[in-house]
Amino acid sequence: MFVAVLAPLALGLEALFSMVPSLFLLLGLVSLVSIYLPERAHYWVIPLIYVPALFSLYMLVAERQPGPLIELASGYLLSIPFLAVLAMARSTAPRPMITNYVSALAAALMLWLLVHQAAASRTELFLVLINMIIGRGIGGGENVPQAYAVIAAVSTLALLLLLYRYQSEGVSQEFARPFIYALSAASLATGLLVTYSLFFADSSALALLVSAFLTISLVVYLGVSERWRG
Amino acid sequence: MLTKEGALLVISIASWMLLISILIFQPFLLLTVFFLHVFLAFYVIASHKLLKRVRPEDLVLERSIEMVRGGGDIFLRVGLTVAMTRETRLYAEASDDIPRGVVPEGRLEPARGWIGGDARIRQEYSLRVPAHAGLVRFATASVRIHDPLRLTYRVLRLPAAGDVAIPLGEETVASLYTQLSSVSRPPLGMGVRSMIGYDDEFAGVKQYDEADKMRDIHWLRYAQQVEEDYPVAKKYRKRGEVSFHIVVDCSPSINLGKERRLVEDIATLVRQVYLSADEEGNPVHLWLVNPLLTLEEKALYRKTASRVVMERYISRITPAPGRDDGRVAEFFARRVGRGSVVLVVVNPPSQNLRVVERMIRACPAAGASCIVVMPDLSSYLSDGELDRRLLAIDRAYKESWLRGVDSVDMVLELRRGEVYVAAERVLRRR
Repeated sequence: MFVAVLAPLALGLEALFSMVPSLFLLLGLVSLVSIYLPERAHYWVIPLIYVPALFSLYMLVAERQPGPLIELASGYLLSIPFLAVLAMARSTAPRPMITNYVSALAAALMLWLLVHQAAASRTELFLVLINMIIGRGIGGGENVPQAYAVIAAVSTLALLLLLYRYQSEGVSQEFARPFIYALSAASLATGLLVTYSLFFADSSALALLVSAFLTISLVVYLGVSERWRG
Repeated sequence: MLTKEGALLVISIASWMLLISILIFQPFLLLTVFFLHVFLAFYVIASHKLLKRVRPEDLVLERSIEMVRGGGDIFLRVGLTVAMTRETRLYAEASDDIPRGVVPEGRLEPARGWIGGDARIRQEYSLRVPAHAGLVRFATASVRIHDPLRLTYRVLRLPAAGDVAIPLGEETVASLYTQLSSVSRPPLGMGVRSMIGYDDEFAGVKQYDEADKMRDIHWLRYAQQVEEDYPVAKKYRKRGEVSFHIVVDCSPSINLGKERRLVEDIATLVRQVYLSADEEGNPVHLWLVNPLLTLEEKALYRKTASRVVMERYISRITPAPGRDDGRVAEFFARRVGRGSVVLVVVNPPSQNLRVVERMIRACPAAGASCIVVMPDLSSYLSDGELDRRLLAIDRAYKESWLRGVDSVDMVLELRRGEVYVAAERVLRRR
């Protein structure tokens, strides 16, 4: 499990440690993550969420100090990849595991980019996000180190193996074959796409085309053939 | 087919793919989602191909049924167990196909779990049976087998036939006895007139004259007259030649009673009716619904037939296994004519009921009248074999069958030791 969540966790932690810590930032991070605490701790979780939120709102309205609210919002942003990782760790079914994994990875990556942009421009994390949303872009930021690509590949493989281990307890080797075939095909296709991207710039378009073709093939093979041919 | 989870996963991954490539383009994130998408597509296709190799014969279905009475209703507690003969373990969902006419009690949840090896799953549910259902017929059960990740499945509809006979309540049995024992009688004024030797139809009354037979005097109408004092005679209209058709269903269900007593009684009945009708000059045609015979042997259709031929026909009245092909019914439908009387001897349930039904339904179309003779099961079973439930079931089945064939003019019960009474009733009633 640890290997499966390594990529989003590593990206998220690096983003977290790149931030200058402050009280409201930490409160924002901890309050959302604490939702996953056991039920008996919910007496503490509710004030932990509402008190900083109400206080920072009071500071904005009464004292005209937006700082606490912006820091709290940055804390909330920082917690997103960890929330997705926790949700993934708690699930065993394929759909929640895979979607939570992709969400965690995407959120961690976005956070990493935002944090490094914030550090470069010396602005708050939340303000960088607002700038990005209103169209000013993240331009000029750092590229994600290549090491994370390797970690993500290992994590993805670990995720699939973990998923198979959860779901196929006691299943004979006969049904391990589709799993191995699919892993091999996916690895081959990804390798070919990477090779293609070395020579051509439109690799994402190719990836989209292949994905669309596979989705349509799946629907036709399973849906139409089953219903029309009996 | 894709499961709901599988379909949602495909949609989710495809959406992520679009989102990443358009909005947040990051190469290694795109590659990760691309990898997952390709894996998913190939896994589902390969798993589905493997699921197709599972044959229906690999699955074993067992159904246990317990009948329970509660609150004046009858309930069936059904347990469906699904196992697999192969060592391969598969995740499966089993759901019994509910028979017609019954109502499930509560929500019907399929059984879910692993099958294969020693593992098996069991679905348990209750059915409420309507008061008049004589038989609950289970036919098939559906089993959904899944791949280990449960992203795809295949549905196998497996035969799991089973009949449950439902005992009737006292009121239903009583009404059934009444229905079976009552026979259609001619309306008052028409009189009861022997069919033998007559081929006329009652058309009204007229003043009696010397040319009329004494037995044609309408005594009741004569007695009702106040002013006129002349006798009144019945007036008849020529109907043409009356043919007598005797149809016997030779299914194994006529093999009833000690030393095949029912077969003996049917043979006696046929012989008696044949001889009486033949003696009066009415042509008699004999038909057998017997899958072991050729069409020529099944149908004795001649204007005149010797007693030797009749005895040969009677000797073929033996319980025969299998289902008749029905060609005799087509032949019969062409031969039966207006004014004919058809006597059908049958003991439902029988494999040849469809053929018999076709022959019965051909009667009103041809203008013939039909008399059905069915044995009374209770008189052919000895005390040790008597089971009230069984008798009730038999009556219920016969009742429901009779409801289905509405072209029967008269129903007679054949009881042990009362063959001649039955023959006489057949001959004297139209």
